[in-house]
Amino acid sequence: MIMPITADQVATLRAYLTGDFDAYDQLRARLDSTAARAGYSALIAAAFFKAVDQRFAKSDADAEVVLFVGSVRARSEGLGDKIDPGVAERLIRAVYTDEEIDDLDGETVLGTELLLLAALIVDEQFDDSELDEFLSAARKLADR
Amino acid sequence: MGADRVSDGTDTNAETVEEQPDRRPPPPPDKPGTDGYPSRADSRNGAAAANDTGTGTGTGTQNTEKQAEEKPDSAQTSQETSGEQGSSATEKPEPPGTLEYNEGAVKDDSTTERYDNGPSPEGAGGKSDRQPTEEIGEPKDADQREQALEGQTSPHDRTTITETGKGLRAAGATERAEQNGAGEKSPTDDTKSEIGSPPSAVDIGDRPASAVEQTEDAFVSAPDTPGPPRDSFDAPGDVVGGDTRESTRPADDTAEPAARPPEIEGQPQSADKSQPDSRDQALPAADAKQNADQASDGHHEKADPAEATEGLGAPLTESAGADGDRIDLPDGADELEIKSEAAPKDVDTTGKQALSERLMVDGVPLHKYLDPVGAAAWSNESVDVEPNPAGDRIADLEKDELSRFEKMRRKAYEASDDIHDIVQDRLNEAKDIFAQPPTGHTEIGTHPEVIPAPHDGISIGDAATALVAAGVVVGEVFRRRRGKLIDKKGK
Repeated sequence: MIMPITADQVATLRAYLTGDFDAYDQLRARLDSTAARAGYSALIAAAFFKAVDQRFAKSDADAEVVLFVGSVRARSEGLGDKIDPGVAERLIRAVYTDEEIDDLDGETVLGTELLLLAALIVDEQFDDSELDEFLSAARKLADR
Repeated sequence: MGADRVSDGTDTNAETVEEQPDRRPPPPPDKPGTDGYPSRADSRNGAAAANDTGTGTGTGTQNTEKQAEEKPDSAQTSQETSGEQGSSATEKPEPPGTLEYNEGAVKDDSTTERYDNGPSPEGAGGKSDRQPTEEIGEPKDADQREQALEGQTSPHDRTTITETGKGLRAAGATERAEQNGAGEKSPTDDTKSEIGSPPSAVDIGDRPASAVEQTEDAFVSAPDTPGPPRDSFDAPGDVVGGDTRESTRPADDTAEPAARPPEIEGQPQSADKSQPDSRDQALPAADAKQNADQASDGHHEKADPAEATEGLGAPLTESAGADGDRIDLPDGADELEIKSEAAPKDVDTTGKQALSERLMVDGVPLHKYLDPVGAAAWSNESVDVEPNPAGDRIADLEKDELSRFEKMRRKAYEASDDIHDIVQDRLNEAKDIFAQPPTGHTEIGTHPEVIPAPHDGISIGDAATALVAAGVVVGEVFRRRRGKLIDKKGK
């Protein structure tokens, strides 16, 4: 199902990726409809897909994926508990390989993607323009 | 015209023979199967012994012995063949064509000896354009001559024949004229009337020396040519053509025996050069002509690839004998036949393609040399070049990307209803990610840091401590002095 991605959804995600959690809470509260939630979920998936593709697609990085997942889990005790390393690695490999993720539940997938996306964007240290460009590409992918 | 020389008595070769004083008379004629006459072997042995014991100044005698040693089998076979056919040769008149062929063979052999021995003494004496006299006693020639003249010539005639090639021709022509009952005809007329226009000895002798040498050498180099080589001399123009081709045609002649028809291959192989002569003596003229045609056909079947290059201006590789075979057919048809049959058996394409494959230039086939691009384009060889991705292949790449994203979108859509709970549940962990200090770099000052000298004043505590300490010391000193004074007063 393809849902149109709105500007509010993009703005909500942008507030999350910049660490502005006060604005994020306000924007997220607007996504009350099912369509908005579906579109926002697709936008999160698209942003994760693009971020992984930029970081790992150009290198043969199974080991790098493992190191990245480990570094994210080590940043806090809560991250170590919330992020399953096997699921995280499979989700990353599913971007540039034929890794199957059909056996994973949606909540686990979406929650892991949300945390890994924040870590990828923090590591990329995008400025505002780069972040806007990144979000534009993610929106374009989610709209297809 | 050699016969003319005999007839008019001006043959210098015959005179040269007579000038040798101590030359022994020739052995008596062989009559195999006739009682009272020595066999051919006896005659040969006697002639060899006579030549050995005689003066033997001519090199032809030595060559005769040498060749007799080199080719004993052929000589023996020739003897046997002659012996078997001797009766028939004497009983029935000799076919004219056969006699002419024999004469040509004799002429060629004698010519070969002459070239092997170098200039003869006579040639040095100003008779270089004449046939030398050193062809005496050559076993094969002797057999041929004896077969042709057996029982028909007098000893004197045979002597003349064995001494000179031209004398042989003259005598042979005379004998044929007598056998055919045309003694009133001149030998030259006799020969021409029987075979058309065969090359008489004079015809060859009158030609330029180089042409004669080439033609005769070609005959000697192709001894097994089954066809009557006389055909090659049917016309003067043909003779000239043979002369021009023969110098580069040895390969064709060597391949010719394999192309001989079964009838010819079945004949005794040990007869070598003398075989065609003895065979032709026994066979009628019609059979000889038939064999010649068969041999010509076989020759063309085994034509080497070099023949196919004639049409392209390649060096001609025809010998006189082979050229004689070719003359039987029309010129145009002969060329076409050779080209088509010279193609490899495994090539079923046109002759043009096969020809281009066989012609090599610097180790490369001609068609590839002239048109390498075209040859590569039409080549069936596989090329290890990966084709450029087609449009559908690019579309597949995009499709793969979408299919992978669709898997993630499908999973995200499954949890879209609980998105707020999921986000809220992981919001604190997300804050931990953003709370982490960003990785930075250390800064290094560009100027040295100067630490100022301390300027601290007297502190109250330190003063009090000092006063206490000083009071303690003063009180102790006062107590000790008071104790001393008391002691002094008490004492």
